[in-house]
Amino acid sequence: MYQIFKKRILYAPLLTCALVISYSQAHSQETTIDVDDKIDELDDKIDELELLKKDLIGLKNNLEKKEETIRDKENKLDGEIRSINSLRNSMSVRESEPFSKWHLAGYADIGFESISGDTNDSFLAGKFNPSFHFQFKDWIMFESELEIETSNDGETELALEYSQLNFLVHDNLTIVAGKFLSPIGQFQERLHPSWINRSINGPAGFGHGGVQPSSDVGIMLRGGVSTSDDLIFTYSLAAGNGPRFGHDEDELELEGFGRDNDSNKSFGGRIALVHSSSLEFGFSYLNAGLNAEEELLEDGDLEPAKNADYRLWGADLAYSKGPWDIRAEYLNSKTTPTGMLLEEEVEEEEEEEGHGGAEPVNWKTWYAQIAYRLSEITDHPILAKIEPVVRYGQFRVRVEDTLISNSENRWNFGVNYWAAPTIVIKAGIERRNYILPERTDETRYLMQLAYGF
Amino acid sequence: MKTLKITLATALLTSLCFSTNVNAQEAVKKDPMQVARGAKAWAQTCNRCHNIRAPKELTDEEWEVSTTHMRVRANLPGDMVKDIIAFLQASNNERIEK
Repeated sequence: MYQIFKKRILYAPLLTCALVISYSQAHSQETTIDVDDKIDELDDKIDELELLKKDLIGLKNNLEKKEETIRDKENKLDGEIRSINSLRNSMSVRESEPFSKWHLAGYADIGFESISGDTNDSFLAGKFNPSFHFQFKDWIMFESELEIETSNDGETELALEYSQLNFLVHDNLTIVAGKFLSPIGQFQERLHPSWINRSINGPAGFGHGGVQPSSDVGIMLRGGVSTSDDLIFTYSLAAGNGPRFGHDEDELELEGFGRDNDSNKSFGGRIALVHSSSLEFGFSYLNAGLNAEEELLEDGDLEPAKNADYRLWGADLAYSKGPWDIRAEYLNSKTTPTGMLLEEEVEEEEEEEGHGGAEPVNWKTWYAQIAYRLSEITDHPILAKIEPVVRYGQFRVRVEDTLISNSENRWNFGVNYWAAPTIVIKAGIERRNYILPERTDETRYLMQLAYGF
Repeated sequence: MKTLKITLATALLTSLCFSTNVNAQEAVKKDPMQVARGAKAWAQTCNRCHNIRAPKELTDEEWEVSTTHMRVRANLPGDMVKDIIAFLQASNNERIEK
């Protein structure tokens, strides 16, 4: 039994080894078959990849050729761009940075006027006011405006509104020399052009024979200073040849004279505060001496010498924001004869010959004007361009405390149609109520087309 | 003595003019907010007297001259005017690029 068991024990490993060997042989045969398949597959893949590689190389070659072509074209374009830029730079330097630059501006208007009473209705040729601006760098500007208009008898009248050199000394200081518009108040200097003025004409007292000086010849310092983010202080301080006596006792010649007749200069100007809310308040003052020598008139009468002090002061207010344009202005001027002895002489002359020298005269005027553009309340393409305007003003002239005939109260009602920001058609009614009963009141129907350019 | 005073005054004026010019050119390069400030000043300032005019109404060069005229007439501070010019010219250039 033991022998049988021993034999079995001895043969067991041998059998196991034989089984293992036979199994491994069988398995190795299967593995060899798989590897061969894999190798075949890999060979196929390699062939495919080789083909792909060839294709890619072909593609790469094509791309390189195209890239080379593009590079050539880019180089050509770069060359062309460089030459164009060079030309453009040379041209833009010429266009944007010349030392001298200029601009032609101005305005023109035409109109129609019908006045109650005996006066004939008339088409009005209006005015043509070209304005020339020449600037050298940002140092000096010369500007001048002509006024060309047709008189009632058909003559062409030419006047020089202003002709001034502006020295731009500093951001806050400009020195003006020459003939300049009077800086007194706001209407004459800034609002009188017909494309800016909301009403068809000037307020009472702002024309010939009125209070407002129109221009002066001299020198002026002016500018604006930002005192805070919301407030600008502006100033215009002028010295000029000043006004002269007019032909009538109640008139002064307030246009700028090319020469001074008495070496007595006028001094004055305007200071103002402008708030960012579009509210502006200004104060004006002017002081001058008026002197006229004895003069022999055409009719043989002798005009006595006249001497007087002239003082003007005024205040103005403006609010212009959005659709609103509100303005008010007050001016008060007077002449006070100087030299008691001279006055006595003048009185003697008056008694003897019926006309006299300087007399105390006081001019006062004020107006208030409101204009409102309908664009704020309607989007209608026509209604939005309409702007009703109303103005009321008073003008008083007193010679030795006696009111004279051109004193009046004046109402203006108008409707403006803004065809463009600088083109306006105005229609209005003006009522002039003269204070003295000997002068008949007037109603005027007015139309105007104004173009600012 | 009088000649000396005149000479000194002239030199002072000239130097002020030069310094203003140089400062303006430098300001444009250094201040990217200039156009925004100019737009605000343009909207607030022009209609103090008249309707606002569109940037496309004038060329860059004409705007420069026109706004200098308004600087004098309306007593606008010079730095504000430079902002307005920058805005108007930038607006014109935008139009050209389109």
